[in-house]
Amino acid sequence: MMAPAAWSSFSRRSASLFFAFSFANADRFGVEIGAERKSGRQPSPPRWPARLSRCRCRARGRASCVAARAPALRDSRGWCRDGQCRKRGQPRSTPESFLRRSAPARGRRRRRTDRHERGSPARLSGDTSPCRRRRPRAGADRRRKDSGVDRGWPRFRQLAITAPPAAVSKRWRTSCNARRPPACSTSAPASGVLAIAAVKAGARLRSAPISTPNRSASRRRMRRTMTRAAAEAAPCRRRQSCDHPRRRAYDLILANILARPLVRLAPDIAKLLGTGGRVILSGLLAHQEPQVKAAYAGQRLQLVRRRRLNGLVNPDLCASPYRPSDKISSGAQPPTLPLSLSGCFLQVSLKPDSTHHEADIRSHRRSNVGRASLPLLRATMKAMELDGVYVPHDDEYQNEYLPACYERSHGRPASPDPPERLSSFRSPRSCSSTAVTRCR
Amino acid sequence: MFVDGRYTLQVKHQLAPKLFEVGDFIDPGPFGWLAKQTLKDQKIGYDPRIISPDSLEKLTEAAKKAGAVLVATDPNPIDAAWTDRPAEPAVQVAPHDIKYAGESSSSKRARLGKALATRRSTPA
Repeated sequence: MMAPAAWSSFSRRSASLFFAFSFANADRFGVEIGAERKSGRQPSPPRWPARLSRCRCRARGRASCVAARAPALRDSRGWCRDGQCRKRGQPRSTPESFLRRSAPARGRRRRRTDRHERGSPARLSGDTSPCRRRRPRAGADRRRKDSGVDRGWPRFRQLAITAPPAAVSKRWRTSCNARRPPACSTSAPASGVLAIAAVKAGARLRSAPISTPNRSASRRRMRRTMTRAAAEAAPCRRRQSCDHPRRRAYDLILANILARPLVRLAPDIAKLLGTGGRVILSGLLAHQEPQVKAAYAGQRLQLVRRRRLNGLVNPDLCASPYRPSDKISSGAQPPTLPLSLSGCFLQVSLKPDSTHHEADIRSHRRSNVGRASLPLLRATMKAMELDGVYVPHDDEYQNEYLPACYERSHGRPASPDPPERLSSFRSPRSCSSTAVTRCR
Repeated sequence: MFVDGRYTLQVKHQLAPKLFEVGDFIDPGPFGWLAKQTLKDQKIGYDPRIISPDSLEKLTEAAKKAGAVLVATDPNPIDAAWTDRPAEPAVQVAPHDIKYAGESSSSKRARLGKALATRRSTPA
């Protein structure tokens, strides 16, 4: 039996959501519910999880139930005893009805799903398919296959797909506030490849529908694959609530984007990440690694491991389980927590963020560099009897590497009047370009 | 002002257009531009501390073609015009461990002394 080791560390706020999900997927996970099944006795009707601390009507978003915070007022099935919920005209929800509603639709919709499954080029692991959600036969091994463990990967139980400008942009926040499911809007092929890889590694996708603006055939195929992958693993009826960033601290964020956006997004990604969570950044060039690493180091994310492949780097960063207020003794490495809860699949737009650049230029537009300093320079040149002065280009190698031919200690002038003292080294005055100034 | 392709737009926005002419850093470049000028017996200053031997060689050649004379300046005239220059760092020097530095201070000094002895130079 797969032990739900991660349940205890779930926050109380999202406990009800998580348990609803776990219960609905109990047969898929191979989780046995209740002690009766273990002992081999006649199975009793399933119960709501014991740790469900609130009335079901409250857990489903209905407010103002008198039994919401009083366990003594609830019956064994999680409903309040005084019938407040039924008085309000709501249908009585039972574990059986909940499972029935969570099952895939039958009839025409079901057949279409099956046909789509057969025609799909990239077939995901069968045990996550909604059409295979039958109960296992008696005596069958209920242990769920997890190929990721064999390869040394952490086990990802759940994975959410969201859209990126999603994670940070105002648009995403607005859509979340409006309770609309987030959508993966750009670069769906890259997202799809990563999503498929995550599923193959044992991840469970839980996502909202995916929309791709591009109508090309490959995008349509990918959208179909992604939507199916998302739909098959999302039996949770309150889907958008499960993916709500305010309710979930993600344990895994995959980002397949450029280095600059990654650096800019570091604070936002760190906010989405839970304690002990991980960020996997793929496709960085080798020379971009230090700046990305430095940006995430400021967000309490340390490099766990990296994989280099043909000049590309995939760093795996891990959030420190310490809070910022905790004191970390010098030399002690903060331990990393195992991944087991959830994940966020993050993909940002590859479109360059021109806003910042334009604002940067606009701020300098009226600066008129040189209007004050140039007269001073000309006066100095006149005093030194110079007609022009040469200001060299900045270091080609950004002071990191100087070949022998660029060694400045050899820069003694060949002119007849060399300066007397060259021993006191001063940092070179750098200029971003070369200028030849003439005295006018 | 000679800039490469990364700054062609930025330099137009940031510099006063009536005070500076902007040229490409590669073609013609500062040396190519200087070689085509006629600057007979005019003095062009440069700071020997911030110029590489390679650049100095090219500058000398270009100035020769233009007919100008190179003058090493000390101090740099830019310093006089640099009114808003940041202060030099005043952070206390901290020695790093050998695992970060890669080479100990005594080893570096020994290497320096050996090089000076080989070249028969006198320390400044």
